[in-house]
Amino acid sequence: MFGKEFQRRYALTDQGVKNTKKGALWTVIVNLVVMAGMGILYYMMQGYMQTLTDGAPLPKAWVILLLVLGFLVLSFVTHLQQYKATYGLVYGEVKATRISLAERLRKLPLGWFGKRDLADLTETVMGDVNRLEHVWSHCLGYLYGSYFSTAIIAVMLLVYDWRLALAALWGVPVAFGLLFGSRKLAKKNSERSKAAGLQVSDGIQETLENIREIRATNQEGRFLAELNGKIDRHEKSMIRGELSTGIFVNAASVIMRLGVATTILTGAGLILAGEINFMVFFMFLLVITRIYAPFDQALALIAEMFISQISADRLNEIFDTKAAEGAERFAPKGHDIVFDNVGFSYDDKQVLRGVSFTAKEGQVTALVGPSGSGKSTCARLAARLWDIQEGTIRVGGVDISTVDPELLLTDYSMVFQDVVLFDDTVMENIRLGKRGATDAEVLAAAKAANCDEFVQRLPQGYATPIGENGAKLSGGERQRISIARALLKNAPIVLLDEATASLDVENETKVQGALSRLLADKTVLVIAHRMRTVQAADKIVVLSEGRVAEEGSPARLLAKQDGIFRRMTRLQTASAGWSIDS
Amino acid sequence: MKKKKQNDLSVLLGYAGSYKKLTFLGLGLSAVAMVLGTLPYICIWLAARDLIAVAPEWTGATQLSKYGWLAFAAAFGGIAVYFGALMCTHLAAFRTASNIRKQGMAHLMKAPLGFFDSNASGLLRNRLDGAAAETETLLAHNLADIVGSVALVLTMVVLMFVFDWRMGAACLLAAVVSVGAMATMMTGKNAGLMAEYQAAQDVMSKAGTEYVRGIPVVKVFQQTVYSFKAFRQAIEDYSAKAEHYQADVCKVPQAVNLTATEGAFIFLVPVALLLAPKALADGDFAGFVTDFVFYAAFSAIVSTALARIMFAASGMMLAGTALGRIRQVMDAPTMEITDKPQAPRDNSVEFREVSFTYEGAELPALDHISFRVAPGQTVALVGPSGGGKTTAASLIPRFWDVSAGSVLVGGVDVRDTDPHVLMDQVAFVFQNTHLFKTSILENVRAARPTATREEVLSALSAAQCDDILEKLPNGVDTVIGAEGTYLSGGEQQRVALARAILKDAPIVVLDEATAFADPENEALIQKAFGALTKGRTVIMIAHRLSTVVGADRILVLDSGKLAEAGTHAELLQGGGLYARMWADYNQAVNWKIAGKEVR
Repeated sequence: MFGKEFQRRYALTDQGVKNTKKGALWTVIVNLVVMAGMGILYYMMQGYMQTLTDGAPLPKAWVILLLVLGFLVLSFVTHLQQYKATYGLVYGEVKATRISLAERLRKLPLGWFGKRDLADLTETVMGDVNRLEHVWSHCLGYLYGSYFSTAIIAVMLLVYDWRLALAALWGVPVAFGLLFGSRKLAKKNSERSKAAGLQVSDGIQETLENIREIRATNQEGRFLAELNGKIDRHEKSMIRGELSTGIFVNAASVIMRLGVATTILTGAGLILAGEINFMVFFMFLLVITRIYAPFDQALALIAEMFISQISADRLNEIFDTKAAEGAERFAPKGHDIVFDNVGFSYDDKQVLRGVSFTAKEGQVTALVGPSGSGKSTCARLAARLWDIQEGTIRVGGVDISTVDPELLLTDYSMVFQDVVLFDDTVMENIRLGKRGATDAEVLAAAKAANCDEFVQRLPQGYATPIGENGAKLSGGERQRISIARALLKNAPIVLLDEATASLDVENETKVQGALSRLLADKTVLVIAHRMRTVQAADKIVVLSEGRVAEEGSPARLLAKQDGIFRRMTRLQTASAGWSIDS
Repeated sequence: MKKKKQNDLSVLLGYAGSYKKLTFLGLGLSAVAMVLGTLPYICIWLAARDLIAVAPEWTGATQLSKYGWLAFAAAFGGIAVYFGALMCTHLAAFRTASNIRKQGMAHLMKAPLGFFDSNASGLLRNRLDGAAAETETLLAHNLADIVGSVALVLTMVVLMFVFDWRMGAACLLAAVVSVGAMATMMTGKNAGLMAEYQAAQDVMSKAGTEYVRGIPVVKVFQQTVYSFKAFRQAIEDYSAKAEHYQADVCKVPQAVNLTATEGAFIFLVPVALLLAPKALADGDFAGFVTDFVFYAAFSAIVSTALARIMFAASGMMLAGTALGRIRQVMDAPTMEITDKPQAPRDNSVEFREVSFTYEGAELPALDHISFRVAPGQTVALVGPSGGGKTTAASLIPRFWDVSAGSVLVGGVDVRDTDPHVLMDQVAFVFQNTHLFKTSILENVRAARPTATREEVLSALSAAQCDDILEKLPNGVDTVIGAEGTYLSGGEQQRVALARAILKDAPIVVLDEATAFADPENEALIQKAFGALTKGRTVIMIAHRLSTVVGADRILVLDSGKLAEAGTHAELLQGGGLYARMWADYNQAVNWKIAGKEVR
């Protein structure tokens, strides 16, 4: 019951399984103690009946009070233990899970993050653990313990009087039978209404995304009508699901309540037939009115348990993802980057095939090609943001797939279009480039990257907090911070997206000046968009549909008739001269 | 607090429309079901009474079977009514959620377009769609449970007086003790601890967000160990606070609470012990024992009722936050639409003393701007980023309404124009255009639903889209987004241009950003621009100065003010801001990436 599958289904650690067992054990004890407490009522009742029929004196009050006291102490103590074993232990467990999750996340290949919407990811990761925390503390031990204790009590009742026991307990198998019997239908229905719900949600998303176009083309009415149709269909499917299967879930929870009535009915019959006496009947009444309580709660929590399994699946996926690993030593001879027959697929789509080229130290190598040709991928592979499937990539003669990714990155500076900033001051955001850099070093890098001019305008200068993910800065300002970081780091290899140089068109010259400083004497690999900008590069590698189509110095490639580079350069020169006219 | 909750509820029920009655019916039925559910216990009392009367000759209680069947009938009836209740509340809940979605979307359709720049579509969708779904549970289950539980508690009070109020009160005392124990966890010194614990949770979740979001970049700088340490610290703080709160504050009250609810019967014992001697002396001992039997069984319901109320109350709290999110959508500003629309008289565009300040901003984005674009003229807006050129352009199709002054199209204030007429008058092509998930043909035809297939094809051709159609499996009938058919940014922009060409509006507002289209696309987009702007009134946001050299007039916006205006030649001669920008621009264009410092 508490095997591997159970462990995975709720994403528990080994300790977590032990805790759950402990929680279940204490729940069994608590439930049995409560049932035993009922014995006090039984004992009193027995005394009262004797007084009634035989005129015996009333049962001794002090004995009963002593029993009550004993029960209260026992109940309180066992509840304390149960609480410790469920809630108390979970906090240790959940702490361990959070930390190991955090530890795991930082070891995942960087490409794994690129595939996901980061805002979405953080929300799910944090939310998943919170949800599991709740299930671990509130549901697992309690539920499984209740299964056991009910089974124990059921057996005892059956042994005592099987006829009344059946009358009392028939609802349990019927209820669970209904629940599991309707599961297939329920699944089908819930899938159907989920699909209809997804249509609604997609419809809302599409309408909102396209609202400019919808309004520009005066189509509000049509879009709203279409959306309303989807909403109506969703409502119908929800109603159908509720009528056909929702009923079973609710039926399960109330059908067990019929047990009280059938117990009265059967008990009445048995008494009239002289089979049992009133005290037996009374005892069954006491038990039957309490035995369903744990199941009530179980049924109420079933939805939550179900959702938590999705959370557990997501956590398991993270823990199952292969971490990028490698040697803790990286001693390359120089920093030439060599692509040797590299093949790479992403989501089953072949992005690069047979790519070979060398980017020499101290030189600028530009990757050129139409969008989708694979040039950005190449640059990212050079830093082992993903692992390749074929061929090798070497830096200074060392195969980078054998080096610990984080260590490898010591030798890289990357200036890409997407800049991640932290909710901290400008100073600390730049200092990220080199841990332990002095303020003076940070300021020098900031000046060199032309950050100074806009930072001075901020209310507290370099001490200004920049908001969550730097919300208060413009695109060009973010770029310049990322360049300052790279300058501070001063790594021998620079990977650069040339678009960075012109993202903020109005500030182009400033950013460009900063870049020139960054690139001096490094191994530079540039993802180039504008041909003119890379005319001074030492080497151009033209990619087309994932292959190297042309390679050589700009001058050589420009001289090549029917060459791609030549054609792109000429097209862009013409575009640059374009002007609107009246 | 209580008042607010009721308001929430009536707001929510307001969305139910004609189904509001169904909700009330469902709630009523739920109460009836709960009351019926207590009948079997009364049958227990009746059975006990008869049995005790004949004790110990049990077979003498001839009415017993009748009570058994009555109990069965009541329980069965209760279940049936309960189903009826759920049916009603579910139907009403689904309808309410649907109405929330419909009304929310209808409302958003009327919001100024600029609203969607500052509110991401995913967030809005999440708010509306997610919150609507959350209200379902409240209306379908929680509300019925609350009403049912209240009915149950009232029934318990009534039964108290029918049978024996002292023993009844003892059962209710269990509820009082449990509520009291729970309350100690949240009051006095403990309230502070709870707040601390919740604050630690917030800190942790914020640290987690930063940590995960930052991993890619922190990894590049070999600092995951340090950012990891910060997150780990937050986790440990939270765990310590949580453990402290749970262990030192909650443990005892929780144990008291559970002992009281699960052992509610124990409160009955001392009361019974007190009452027994007197009952014996008064000669009504049989009646006393009957009541004792009844309450012994009935006390079990106390915990059920309490658990239900607590469960439902937490559901209410969720619904409160859901409603908050729905409100955020419903409170979105709407564009005011005039009831006496005027038709534009020509194809001119004019700004008269226009000022505009973004919500929450201190400085105006536009500050007393005036200019006029005559019909057929081409005007370019240039200036540093943040100068106000995009803002100015977006005031023309009423993405926002001015804070002061007026924007006139065809000599009529845009606010006095029927929005549909205005949209027919103005075509705009901004950055990040979207395509609908339908065929290219329909995407373009959206601009003019009456257009023939041939007209659409020729617009596509004029927008240089022939190569796109050629490479698509079903040409112009290919559905965008289906079977992995996606267009690159540059290609999307060309289709959007075809749309604008087909629309054939006399005024064109366009953003010249082609910076990251690849060279092939860029050249084609520029050709399409030419086709679109020919013979029309054009207002263009320019990023690269080379594109505006041929404009009739160039407006230079700086810090929200109109700094200069004139032709390219005039402005160069003026030697002002534009002339400086032009010099800068030429330097930037000639910049080359090189391995050695060249300057």
